[in-house]
Amino acid sequence: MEADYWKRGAERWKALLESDVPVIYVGAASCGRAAGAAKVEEAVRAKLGDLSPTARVVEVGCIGPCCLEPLVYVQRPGKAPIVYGDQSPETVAVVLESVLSKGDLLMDKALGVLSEGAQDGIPSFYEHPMLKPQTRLVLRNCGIIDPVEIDHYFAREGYLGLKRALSMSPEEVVEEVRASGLRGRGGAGFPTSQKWTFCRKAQGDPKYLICNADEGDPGAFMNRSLLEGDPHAVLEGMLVAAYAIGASHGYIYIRDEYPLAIERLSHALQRMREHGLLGQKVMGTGFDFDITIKRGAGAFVCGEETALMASIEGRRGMPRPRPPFPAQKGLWGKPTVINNVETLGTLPNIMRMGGAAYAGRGSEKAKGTKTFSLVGKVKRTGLIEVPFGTPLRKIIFDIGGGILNDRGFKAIQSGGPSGGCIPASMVDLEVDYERLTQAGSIMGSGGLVVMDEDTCMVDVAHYFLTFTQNESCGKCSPCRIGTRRMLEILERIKKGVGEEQDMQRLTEIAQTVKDGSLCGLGQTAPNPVLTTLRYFHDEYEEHIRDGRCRAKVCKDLFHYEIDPEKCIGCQICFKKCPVSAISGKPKGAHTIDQARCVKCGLCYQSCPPKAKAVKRADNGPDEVKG
Amino acid sequence: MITIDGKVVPFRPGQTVLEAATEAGIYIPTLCSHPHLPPFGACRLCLVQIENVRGLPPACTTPAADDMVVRTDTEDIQRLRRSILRLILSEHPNSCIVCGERELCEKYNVCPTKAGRVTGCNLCPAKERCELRRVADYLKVDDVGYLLDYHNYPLERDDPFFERDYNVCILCGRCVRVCEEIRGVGAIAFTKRGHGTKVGTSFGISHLDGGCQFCGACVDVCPTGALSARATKWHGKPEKKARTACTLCGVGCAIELQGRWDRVMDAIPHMDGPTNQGQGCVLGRFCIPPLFNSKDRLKYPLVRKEGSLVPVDWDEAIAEAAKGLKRYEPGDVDILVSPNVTNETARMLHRLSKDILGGARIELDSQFDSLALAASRSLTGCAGSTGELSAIDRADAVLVVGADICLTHPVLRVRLNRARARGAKIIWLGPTRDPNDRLVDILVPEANYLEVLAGTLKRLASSAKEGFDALSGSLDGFTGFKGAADISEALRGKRAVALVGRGIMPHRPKATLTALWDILVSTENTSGLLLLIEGNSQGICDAGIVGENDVRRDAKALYVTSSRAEMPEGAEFVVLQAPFSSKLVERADVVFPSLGLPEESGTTTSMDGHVQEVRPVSKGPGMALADAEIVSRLVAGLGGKKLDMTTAQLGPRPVRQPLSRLYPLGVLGPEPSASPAPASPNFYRGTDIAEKVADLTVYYRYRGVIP
Repeated sequence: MEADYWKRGAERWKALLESDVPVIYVGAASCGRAAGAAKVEEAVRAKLGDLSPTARVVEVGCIGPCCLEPLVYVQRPGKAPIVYGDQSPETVAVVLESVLSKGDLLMDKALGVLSEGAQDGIPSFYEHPMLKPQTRLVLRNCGIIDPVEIDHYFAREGYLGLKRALSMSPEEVVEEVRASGLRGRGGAGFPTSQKWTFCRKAQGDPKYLICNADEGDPGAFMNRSLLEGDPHAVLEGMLVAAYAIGASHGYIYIRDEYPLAIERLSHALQRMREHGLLGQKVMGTGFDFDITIKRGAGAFVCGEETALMASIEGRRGMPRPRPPFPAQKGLWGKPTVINNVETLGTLPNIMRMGGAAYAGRGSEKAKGTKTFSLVGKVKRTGLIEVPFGTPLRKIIFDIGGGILNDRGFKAIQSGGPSGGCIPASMVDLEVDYERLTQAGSIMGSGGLVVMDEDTCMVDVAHYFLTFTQNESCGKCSPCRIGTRRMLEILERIKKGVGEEQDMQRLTEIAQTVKDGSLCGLGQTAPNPVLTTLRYFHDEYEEHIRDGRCRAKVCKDLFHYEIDPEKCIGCQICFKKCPVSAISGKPKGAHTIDQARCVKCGLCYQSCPPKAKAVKRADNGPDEVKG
Repeated sequence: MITIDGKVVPFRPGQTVLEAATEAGIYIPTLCSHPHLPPFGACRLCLVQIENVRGLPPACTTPAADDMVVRTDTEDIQRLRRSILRLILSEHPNSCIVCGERELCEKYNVCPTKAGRVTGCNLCPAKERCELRRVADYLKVDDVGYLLDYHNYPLERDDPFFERDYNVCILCGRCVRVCEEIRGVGAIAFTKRGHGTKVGTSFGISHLDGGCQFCGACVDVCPTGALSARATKWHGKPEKKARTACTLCGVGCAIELQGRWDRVMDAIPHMDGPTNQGQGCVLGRFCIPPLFNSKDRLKYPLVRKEGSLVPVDWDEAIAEAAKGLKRYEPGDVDILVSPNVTNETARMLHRLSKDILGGARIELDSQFDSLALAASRSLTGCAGSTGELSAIDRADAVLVVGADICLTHPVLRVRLNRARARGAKIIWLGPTRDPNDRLVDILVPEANYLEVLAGTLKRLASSAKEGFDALSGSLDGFTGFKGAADISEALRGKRAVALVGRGIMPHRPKATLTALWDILVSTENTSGLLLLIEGNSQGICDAGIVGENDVRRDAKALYVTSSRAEMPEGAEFVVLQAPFSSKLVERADVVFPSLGLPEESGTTTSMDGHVQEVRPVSKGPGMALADAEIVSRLVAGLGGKKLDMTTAQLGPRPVRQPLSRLYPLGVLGPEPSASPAPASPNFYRGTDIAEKVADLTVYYRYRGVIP
């Protein structure tokens, strides 16, 4: 009976790929939807009604390049799908018309074909500069399969890893994972097999497995994309992990801000139940396991293991000290393993290909691949997956295509608000847990924010600290109060009224918060400040001594002025200024009344490129402390 | 053995490093840990260094282990602690803590200064007990280094009994934890997050609305002046302290009375009371000072002359009372004993009635208590409960019958909560005003709960027992067993405790008690506890006074020590002995002003049999005398030999009989005529406590307890 699943899956998958009617795939994960995929899909359906009423439309997840969203792949009968990016309802109609009825493939707009080799002169999409340097293991199905079709997942060798795991003893599964060298993808990089072993050995019944899908770092969306694009990969991973540790019940703790992911998961759980993959006697073996989805109410700290468990238990999400560790006394006081979405999503691959084969990728101390959300001032943003040990340069310049507008690269921030800023000088750093920690940052869950020279590092530190300060649960005093005091000093520095001793004070409080805080949130909260102090000391000094913000970000330290030589008197800025601080006659030079100006920057942004008359200028020495 | 600062000290399994150090006399500063509360690890001041352990773990949450080597006071640790404390002080009005003039200021500025807002220790009600100051002194913090970040929260003074100023709160979380984990109430919690984190109720509703029971546990664990008892916060440092046993209900909590200006200024639960284990309730914690300092205390002996009561000296009053009582035959004299007098007074009154007055009737003035005690004596041969309160700690199931514990014995909730957390089933039969249903597994709040009880007992009875028949036969239209199946399953073969309260009074109380004792309490491992309503009913019963609760209407002379007694129409001569003025004064011919709880010496007996000492902190108003002294003088006035409280004169203390066997049934006699229970649940010497304590009136009115 089971064998039928894969057989039927393969048949249905083949039927889709070799469909004798056109198939249009729309990248409709949250990122695609934010870019307008829903409207595009509507337009696709409308257009198909005219062109080819029998054609199919399939919603797929995110294949990675956010910069190219919304993505539409057009599959003609007997051909591999052609990928078109940046679609709008208007352009997609043109594309469909051309490709399906005129036979014009719009070569200049086609990004690639979803096949190994080229087709009709269009290169493979996997040869695209953003995808070529990547190794897609966890994300192998994202954007390829229909996430609501369990058959597609079966067709792509889904649940074969679980099948293999269930044919082994739990100890053998742990051993396989040990051989793979898998380390937690949630940030700390603790060896997964070791965590499991602690829990396996712990006394207590039942045991629990929790999938931590409380992805809260600003700018990070790896877990969301995976859950939306390939939910079964994570669920299969949960079954493998539960079998290995002897858990009988699992929870997925997912933030409520991910409604689509929750929908996909609920749907997938339903399918699993129908296929005997959940509940009593999974796959006909003696293994019983069930999963509950628990939605988080939006506290960042609930990503911390002990706070997460408190939240599931219905208590306020506040961390508690360890020991006891969750593996000994976790949820409801029972042994519990908490694994990150990506860790679990990796397990099917490990079980399918074997631990040793998986360990063939990556660096010496970190095996396998890691997904990152690459955002900020790079040309190509998106979700990427690379082996550990990949140099930052390759990520930023090859995958990311370099800095936006060809500005200078200044720094890259890793690990979300708990991470640090790595300066341009360390661009050859090979990314893994230890090396990032040495550099003063952390791996975190995998957010990468690229910064150009228009970024003020004091402002960056201030931004991330504002976040952690707000998200501190308030339990322990160093984190609750220390981050606040640090933030006050940074605010002072940003205003140009910092004192010489402030940098020393910052370092001292940061050390207190780092050493004294209860949980990971507090212990890492000072990282953005400490790393910027370490690598961008001169910028702090400039703010304090000269009252100057070289990136012209700190509003109190610069002003806008209009170059009378360059001003063409177009009056655009005059009309846009919300506080009527700009005066001037048409065709005549304009001026800004500094007393009125609120530094919103609208004049700077709206000044026509041919004029470029509005500029940002440092405050003079008199204006600094005023 | 564990090594702390080079000292090898022993520890018990399960102890933390902090506990091991504290027992060994090694001080580790801490603000959030508290001996009554499970570890929390929030203030981060107890960080220590442990060999082979990464970072600086908190001593309060780290379990002590063999061969552990701990350092508590290296320069690195102290620097980190100082730095953390400075952060804490940056959000707590700190000017006085680091003030250079502090020593002189405290020497010459000793009186507490009343202030609307606390801006420094000299304006703080908690100055004398502040733990933050103690830690600051230990760490020698003399410069905070930050400008004060004052939260400017509004002062919270809208609720009765205690006030809250969260501007001085350091968020140690003790109040939140004691409310949730010890009391099982959870009226308060941390709200918001980050810098806006504050202790509060859900959605900022009042404590009255939030289900607070005003036990005051939060006030007692607060290390700063954030929480303070309204009535007593500005009284300053006590001049006197005394450990005594509270007699405002039958539990007999050990409390510490604090006295100043010869008055009681505060009462807080004593850490190691056998019945309360450091916890208290709204009565014992907040009502003692306002009750006993109330203005209508009786101060002078009074004698009725030409229709009016006139103050006289003690000799005249005693002589007048003796003269009056002597006019009557012993059979015409009734002595009504208040359930709040001491064991010694009770035994003297007993002597007075038997030996001096030659067999006057003597009664305990408490409807439920005297009935329950008498009934239990008939059933077991021993008046009172068949076990101690600690039986709840070992029980698998607790059956509460007809008791609204949150009003009559609030402190017992602590034990019930702990039992439930341990996994015991709490079965509650009878109406309750307890707003917190987290305490209960099976709740039958309907008025006909006795039917469910009957059904339960029928299922439990191994064979037909008369007790069941007596109960079920007494229930009109006895229908059913709805819910009884679950309850009997929860009780069958388990270690159980039955708590019986005065709620059974209107419904055939003797039949109910009989059935319960006969079927449930008689089984192995099961205790029956009588929730005696009043302070010392058990002790008075042990002294040989337990009535049938039907005062003869034809008594001609009355000697009463309680203000609640119903006065027979035919009474010609009335002697009233009480601390409080009441309506009864109008009918009295002689009035003896007596002392109250904070002024009394002697012993009392808790409802589960603990005999505890009662000690005074104040001398009482005017010419008031101790009850024992008054009785003793009256005995002399009646021609007897003056009694004092020595054992020799009173005879040996009665020994409580161990539970022997169940007596044959049928000795209980007729049920008392149903009389409505008083609305107010708490009395002292017959005086309604809620009437004397304004905040209690507010609280009870709000809960709908009193109209």
